[in-house]
Amino acid sequence: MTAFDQLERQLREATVARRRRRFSRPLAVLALAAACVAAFLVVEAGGPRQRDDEREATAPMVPFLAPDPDKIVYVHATTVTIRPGGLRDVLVTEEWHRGRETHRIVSGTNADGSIAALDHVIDEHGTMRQIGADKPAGAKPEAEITGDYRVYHSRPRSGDEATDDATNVIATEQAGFLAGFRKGIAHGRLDPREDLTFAGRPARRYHVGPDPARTGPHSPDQSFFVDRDTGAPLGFVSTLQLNPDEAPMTSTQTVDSLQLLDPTPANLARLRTLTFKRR
Amino acid sequence: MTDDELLAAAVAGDGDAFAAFYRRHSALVIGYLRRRVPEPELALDLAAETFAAALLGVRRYRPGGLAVAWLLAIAQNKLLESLRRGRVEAAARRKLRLEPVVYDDADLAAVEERAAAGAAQLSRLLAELPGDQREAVLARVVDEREYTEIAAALDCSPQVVRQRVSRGLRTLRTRLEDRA
Repeated sequence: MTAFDQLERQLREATVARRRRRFSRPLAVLALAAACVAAFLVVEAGGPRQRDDEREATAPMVPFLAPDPDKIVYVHATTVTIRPGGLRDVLVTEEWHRGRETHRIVSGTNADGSIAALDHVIDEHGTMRQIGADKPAGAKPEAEITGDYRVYHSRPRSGDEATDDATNVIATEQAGFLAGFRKGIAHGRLDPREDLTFAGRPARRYHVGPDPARTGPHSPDQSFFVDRDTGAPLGFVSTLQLNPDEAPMTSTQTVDSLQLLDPTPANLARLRTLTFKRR
Repeated sequence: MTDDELLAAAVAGDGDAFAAFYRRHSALVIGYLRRRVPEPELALDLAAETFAAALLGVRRYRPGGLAVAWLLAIAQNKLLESLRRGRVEAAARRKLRLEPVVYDDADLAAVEERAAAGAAQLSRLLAELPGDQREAVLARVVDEREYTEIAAALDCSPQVVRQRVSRGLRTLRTRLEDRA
């Protein structure tokens, strides 16, 4: 048997095995895939590094990007994605984050107007508790939403197809929403234009071009915008060329609200408690 | 079966379908990689990782595209990743729990044969395209140049280059399917 035959046999067997495993965990994979997309939109930022002299000259956006570690960072953001062909998705993210603890609610509008939503809390040890739910359009208050409850661990377990996804999602969310901006600014190039605005605010733009080492179809072009006066993250625009012969997919995320909350019992409870109810 | 049909069947768990897809395009992928790396064993290793990554991402393949272009884009990513890291990653193979492929001198000689066959296959396909489409597809898909750069070289707008690439890929797809 040649090396080519060996590879062919292994690919054949892996195809069948993957199908079998996928059937065993469909809901988990779907839920995590949605979370992965949300995480990717926020954190993915490779590309050419900014030179040290450029970074020094443009870096003083400290309060929002390196907040007091005792505070809880609360973010409400809306991401609008236009796909090739004009399909439009809206994703709303609400996050409470402190240290390695995160509570995030992500909801996206389906084509029929219903809303698919994920509510998950990650503790400092990397265990994620999640409730996934569909709620009809014009839904009831979030506290009344019920859904399926699952627990994911960040530590890999052999034989679990979803483990890598879970590990990635948990690591990303433990880093917090602002990590994406920190990375974008550290790796990006400052746009010298002084007249830029984003979401109606005077803005500075940090551009992270497609990673030259990943010039295939999965390397996004990203622009991170921060408030020119306060340094507060305003949002970002990401374009991803999926196929060379069609329009790129464009995602625009706008930070609707960003607050630093005191660690009061009520705020800590918000950080550590799922909003949705178990079905 | 067409590539789209094979990949759809692979998504449904048909191992023979993905094996057939591999057999159909392994020479092309090896030919593409062998032109860009100094050693045949490196081309073989990258090809294995390319097909493993293709299988992992097969659900993301959109029917109606050109599967060969999709596959070559994955090969390109794997190649660039290996250049950047100084080694061939086996992440996709690990995920699929594939064992390392053991090869001997005969296999390495076969890599060279397949590479030549793959290069010839690509050349034949491209030769059948109208000249303007061939130039555009070569520059964009094979040489991976930017649209603006190609437009400057061909003395036309980037939009025109996009149209030529798009039409060229469509033509290639039709011809590949006719032969399948």
